[in-house]
Amino acid sequence: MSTAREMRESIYLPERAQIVEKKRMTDDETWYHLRFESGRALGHDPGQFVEVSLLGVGEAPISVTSPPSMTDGFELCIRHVGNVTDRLRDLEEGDWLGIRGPFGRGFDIEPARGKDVLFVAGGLGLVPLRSLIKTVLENREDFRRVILFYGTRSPDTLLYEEELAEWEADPDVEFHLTVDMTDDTWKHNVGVVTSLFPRVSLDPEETVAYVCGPDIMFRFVVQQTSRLGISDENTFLSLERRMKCGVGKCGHCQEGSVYVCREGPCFSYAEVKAF
Amino acid sequence: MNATKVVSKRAFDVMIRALGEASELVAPVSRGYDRFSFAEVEDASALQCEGYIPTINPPKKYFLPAEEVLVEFSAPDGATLGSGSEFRADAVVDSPTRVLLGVRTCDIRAIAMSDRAYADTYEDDNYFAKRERATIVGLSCLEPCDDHAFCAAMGAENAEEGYDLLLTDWGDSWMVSVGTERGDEMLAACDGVGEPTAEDREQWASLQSDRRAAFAPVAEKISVEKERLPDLVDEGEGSSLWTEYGDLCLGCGRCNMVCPTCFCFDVEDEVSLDRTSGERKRRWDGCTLLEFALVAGDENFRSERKDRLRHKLYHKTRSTFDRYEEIFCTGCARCFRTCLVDIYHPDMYNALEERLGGDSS
Ligand SMILES: Cc1cc2nc3c(=O)[nH]c(=O)nc-3n(C[C@H](O)[C@H](O)[C@H](O)COP(=O)(O)OP(=O)(O)OC[C@H]3O[C@@H](n4cnc5c(N)ncnc54)[C@H](O)[C@@H]3O)c2cc1C
Ligand code: SF4
Repeated sequence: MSTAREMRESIYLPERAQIVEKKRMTDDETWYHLRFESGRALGHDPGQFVEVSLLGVGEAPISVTSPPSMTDGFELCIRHVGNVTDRLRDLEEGDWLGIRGPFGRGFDIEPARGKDVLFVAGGLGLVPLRSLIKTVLENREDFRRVILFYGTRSPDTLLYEEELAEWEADPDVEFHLTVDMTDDTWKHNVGVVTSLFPRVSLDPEETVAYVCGPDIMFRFVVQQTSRLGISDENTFLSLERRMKCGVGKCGHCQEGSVYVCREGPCFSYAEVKAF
Repeated sequence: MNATKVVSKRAFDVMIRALGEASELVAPVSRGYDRFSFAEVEDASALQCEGYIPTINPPKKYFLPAEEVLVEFSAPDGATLGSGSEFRADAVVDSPTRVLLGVRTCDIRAIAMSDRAYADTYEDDNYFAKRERATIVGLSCLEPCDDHAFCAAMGAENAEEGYDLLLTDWGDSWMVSVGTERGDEMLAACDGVGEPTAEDREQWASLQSDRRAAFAPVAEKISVEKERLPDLVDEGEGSSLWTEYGDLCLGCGRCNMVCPTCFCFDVEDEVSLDRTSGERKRRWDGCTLLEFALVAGDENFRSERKDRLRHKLYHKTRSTFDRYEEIFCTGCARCFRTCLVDIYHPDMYNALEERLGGDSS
């Protein structure tokens, strides 16, 4: 009688995407190039994320690591830590998964135009930042200095090693690398990512910072940026919270009055302070 | 006020029964022990359900069922789910046509609130498929339903909108306010719809003043204006009140489940034993439950009950006020009636105000 079960579009329906290429980056992280079956471009902003589905297992929010200029599919870099992400490790080129998104608000790039840009990435934080870094480098003339700090636990946990080498070689990028611990063969800095700050002199009034990494790293990095005098409005972060729906309904990622998935995950530090 | 008509109850019943041929009719039904729940009915006679207190579960269950399939999926022959094989996935959107009869004004207000949340930025297809096909026939309360409701403190003892029709008991007739075009159409299908007479109008005015008098003490249940609640909860962040109430609270989540404006959920995949087909489901979840606020690395931002209780009140006041200029509480008091340790929001607000007042003096 009254009940109709419709098959139709829904914000909860994952779209099929195929793994075009897959590369192991470290013991725990894999890079994927995906393409929608429909061929459509993802159409994301740097800092936005997608919900990756393995139907029957679950869903996980994952940042888009490719820049918007890439239209032949998109890239993700996934750390294998649990239910969904562990199984993704076994997937091969040609295999299928489900994608919803892109969701959330990416990094606000406007304040950085005509200014110095400082990127601070810790560990997996390079994944969302890479999309923005590449976008900035593609439009290099719109920005003044580009300074990049990247820190990981040890040399074998470095992501995107080829690109790191490119950035290091690029005279237009001030590239600084650090690891927490290493052996004698390491030619870069040793220490946490904040230990890189003394290596550069910054013009705080004219610098916009984008910071991405574990929560604990944020706390120390923003101490530094604040002390240097980079304003809270010009310091941007991406927050990681457990989320289910990705569209500001399920309530899991609420932080103060915001849904991190919908109003974020990228915020200015001024916004984060007001939570 | 919306256009008001007088319709005989008999004629109204006939119209509703006719609607029942193509839609599901639901209304509050007595479950004994002074408990009521919305359930399927044959006609509008259930509307006579006098003096019913808010149903155990609010009507949200019709738009956001306690458990709901979002996606159905399967693997092709010979393949299993989760293996990366090709798969088929379809959105499942149940969309029954329903008439909700006898919805109290507090619940009418709550439905309007969840509409806003579920339309915010991304429209929730599963919710709106059901919501858009629902007709809401409200029922005005002539007096407070019990001693616990604090609807008048939240301004929910009346509803100006959010219904198709709103009924007020008028002896053998209903005084009917029309809220939407759909409501107009329903009345057009009724025999013997009349304009209120001069006498009706006079009676209406005196009924309204009786109602105001009856609800005035209810409005006093919270010592501050409702507009003050967001600031109150903000200012009281560090109050010892939360510890006291947190020690009482069991963190059982019952209050979330029965709340007409709680709409958080959890999502889980369920698969057949041979892993070839399954469903992705959402289920009501609650912010007073321990697992709710887990974050990356199994850290929990609100691992203590006091923090979760505070978060609940914060979300119902500050968060929703900032976003929607509305406090997502209707004063229906379902949370109190279901709570095993009698936690009553007005008590918390009043105590907070008193302590804050005490601090500054
Ligand atoms: C906006 C956003 C962007 C993200 N981007 C990336 C990315 O680009 N690459 C990447 O590898 N990971 C990313 N993550 C983290 C990723 O979502 C989780 O690692 C993933 O959800 C874990 O799912 P699982 O089923 O494999 O693990 P589970 O079996 O569910 O849990 C295993 C572990 O992961 C933690 N966890 C579970 N869910 C989440 C979650 N949603 N967020 C954080 N931790 C969680 C648990 O506390 C537990 O310690 C991102 C998270 C968010 C919120
Ligand atoms: S119903 Fe009562 S005990 Fe249970 S979570 Fe709510 S306030 Fe706490």
